[in-house]
Amino acid sequence: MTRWIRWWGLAVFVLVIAILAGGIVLFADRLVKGAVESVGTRANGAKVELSGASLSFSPLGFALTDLQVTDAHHPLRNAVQIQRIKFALDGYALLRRNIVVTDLIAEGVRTDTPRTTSGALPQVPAPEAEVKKPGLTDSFSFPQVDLPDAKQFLASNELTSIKLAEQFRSELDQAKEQWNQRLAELPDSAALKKYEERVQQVRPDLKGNALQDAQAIAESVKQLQALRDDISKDVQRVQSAKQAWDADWATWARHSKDLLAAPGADLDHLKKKYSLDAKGFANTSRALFGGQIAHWTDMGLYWYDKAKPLLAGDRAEVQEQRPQRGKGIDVRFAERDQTPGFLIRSFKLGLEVPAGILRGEIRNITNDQVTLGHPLTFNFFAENMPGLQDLELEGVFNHVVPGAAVDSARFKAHGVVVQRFDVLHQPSFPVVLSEAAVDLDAAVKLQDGELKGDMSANFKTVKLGAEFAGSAGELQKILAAALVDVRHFMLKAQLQGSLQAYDVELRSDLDELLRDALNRQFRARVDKFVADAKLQLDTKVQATRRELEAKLGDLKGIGGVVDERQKQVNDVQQKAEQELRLATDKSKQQTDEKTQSAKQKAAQEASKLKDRLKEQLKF
Amino acid sequence: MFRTLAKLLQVLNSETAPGQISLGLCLGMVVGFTPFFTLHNVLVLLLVLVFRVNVSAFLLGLALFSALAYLLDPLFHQLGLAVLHVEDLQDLWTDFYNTAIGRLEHFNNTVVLGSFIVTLLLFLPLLLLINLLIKHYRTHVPGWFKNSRLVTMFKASHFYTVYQSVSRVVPS
Repeated sequence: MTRWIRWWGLAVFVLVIAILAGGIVLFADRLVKGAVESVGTRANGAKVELSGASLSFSPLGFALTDLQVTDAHHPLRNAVQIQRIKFALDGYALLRRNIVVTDLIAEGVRTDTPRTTSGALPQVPAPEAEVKKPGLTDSFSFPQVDLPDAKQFLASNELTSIKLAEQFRSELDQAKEQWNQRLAELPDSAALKKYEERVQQVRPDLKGNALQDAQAIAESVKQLQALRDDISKDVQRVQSAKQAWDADWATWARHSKDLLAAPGADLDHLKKKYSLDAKGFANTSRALFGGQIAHWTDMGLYWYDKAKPLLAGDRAEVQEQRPQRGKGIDVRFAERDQTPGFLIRSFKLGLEVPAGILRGEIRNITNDQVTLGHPLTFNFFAENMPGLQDLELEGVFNHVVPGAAVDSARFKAHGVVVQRFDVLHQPSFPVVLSEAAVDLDAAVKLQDGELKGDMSANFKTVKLGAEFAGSAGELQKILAAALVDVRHFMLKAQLQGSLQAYDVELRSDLDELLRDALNRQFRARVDKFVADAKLQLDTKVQATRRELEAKLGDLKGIGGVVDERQKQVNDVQQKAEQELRLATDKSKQQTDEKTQSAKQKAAQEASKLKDRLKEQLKF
Repeated sequence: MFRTLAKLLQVLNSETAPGQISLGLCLGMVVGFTPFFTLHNVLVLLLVLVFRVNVSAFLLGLALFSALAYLLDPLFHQLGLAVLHVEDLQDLWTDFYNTAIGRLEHFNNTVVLGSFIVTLLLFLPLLLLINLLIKHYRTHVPGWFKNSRLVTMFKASHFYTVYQSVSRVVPS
């Protein structure tokens, strides 16, 4: 039998196995370190570094020290830094090619820590700049409300009343010139006297001779008709001038009325201009807290995005795979002990935050919840946090049923003592919450791609204030004074949209409190400014108004002349008409008399002829 | 390759037992046909090293059947897929799938199972056939071969020089 056995061969085999095992023991630490760093860096998009890793056999597992995960958006800061990670592997599951971590404990977990060197990858382009959420992260812009000196303001600004007065003055000057010219073109007293003389001249000079008188009367009628036509033309010109005058006067009266009302309108405009815009200050809380809320929301969604690959629960359809040459495909069979390929059953961690330690546990971290049949759950609570009554963060990421994933989280923090919290970092208006006790409740849910969340924060025993480094504007001063008066306020936020495009709506009674306080302080200043401006404006407008009234008085005189001319020309026309009527009557009378006389003469002749015929025919 | 072939000829012409040579070739077939990193191949390597299997024959078999496997992989895949889906065997596969050895063996891979079945089917017939051929060779071929014209020409070739050098180094 022994002639079939090659003892040196057995020794070689044992030696090879021993070398392999020794190699694993010796280099496992480096292999794990390299694997964590390379896989982590690839997944994170920025450097993931580990100080060391050590393998243990009982229980089978690893201990990792000082894990630093670079914030891809800020390469000089770590998104998270973990002092020590220890985890135990399920050896039996490992033999079945499943990575099952039974217990993972992370100690000294801190977020947003500084790095000594940049964690950016040289060959990877910098990640896209964070999308600015309009309205939430906009800087707080103050309307221009510094109140100027009333006299200076009137000197440097063109007011409607002044502008109207200038226009009116120019209009009246121009009108005066035009009407003087027009008056010169109208028939004056000399022309009217001439008409009267012509009336006298055309009266018929009767001499008792019927024929001559008749001719004279006819001639007179003819001349009077010509005179009447001439006067009528002048009457029409005067009437037209009178109508134009009436229209112009109506316009000047209107403009004069506008001018009287203009200073009032100017003052109203001033009041409006230097009043606090209700809309502009309707959401002061959004301006104050929007940036912070957007930062927290972004941070939450950033971590959710990082955790998302661990939640992808759909199993690959094995039957649909095309085999690679020489590789074949793996056919899966039902597992008696349903275990996903990757699973962390329990992940306990202590997150170090400025207020203390946030301790908690995440259960069932796997990319195959369908196989596991249980959702990922997490629960955190506060430890060693002085001045905090209650803090709880819990949530469920349920991807057990493919295509019907529901992720939800709830956060509660009551009696949070806030001491010096920078609300607004804007240099022109840095708002600081020096002191407050806050009760905060928040919940968020993601289902079918729809993101919904709400947050309610009750701020009590508040000390708000603004700390200016340099000089402050009028409104900043007033707003700072108003902030000091705030003792408590509520802040409510509603989140909706999708992970890619979400909107946060913020509401707070702080808006109303601030607006009221601002209005109280600002209204008195505005009223004083408007009163000063009124006084200045009245003085300035008064002189102009007197001058314009004098000009209007002059123009009224021209109107009187027009009226007089019209009266005179009408009188002359009436006289001419009267003379014409007399002459016409006389002419008619003469014609009638002549006709009567002719008739009588004819009758006499006929009677004579009749008598003569009777004599001759007397038998 | 020449060296291995020369060694094989040397072995064929030596007093090495035909079983050692045929077993080497057949175990080479197992490792060559099936994917290398599998549990059964560790066992095969142990057998090759521990038992007096002819290593040259094993290496030749490994090279030859690995090349052949490249062409036969689609066939192994089809066979493995068909066998893994046989209804009556589902309980067996499921039981095996739920064992650590089953998962380490990676039997649920179509190429692994297909090629392993082919090696199991071919192992014994091939072993017997090669044994028979070696015996036949040793009885008839050397005498006839030595006197043939071809050998006279062959002895004058480079291959023969290599063969001779190997013969001097490797004790028969």
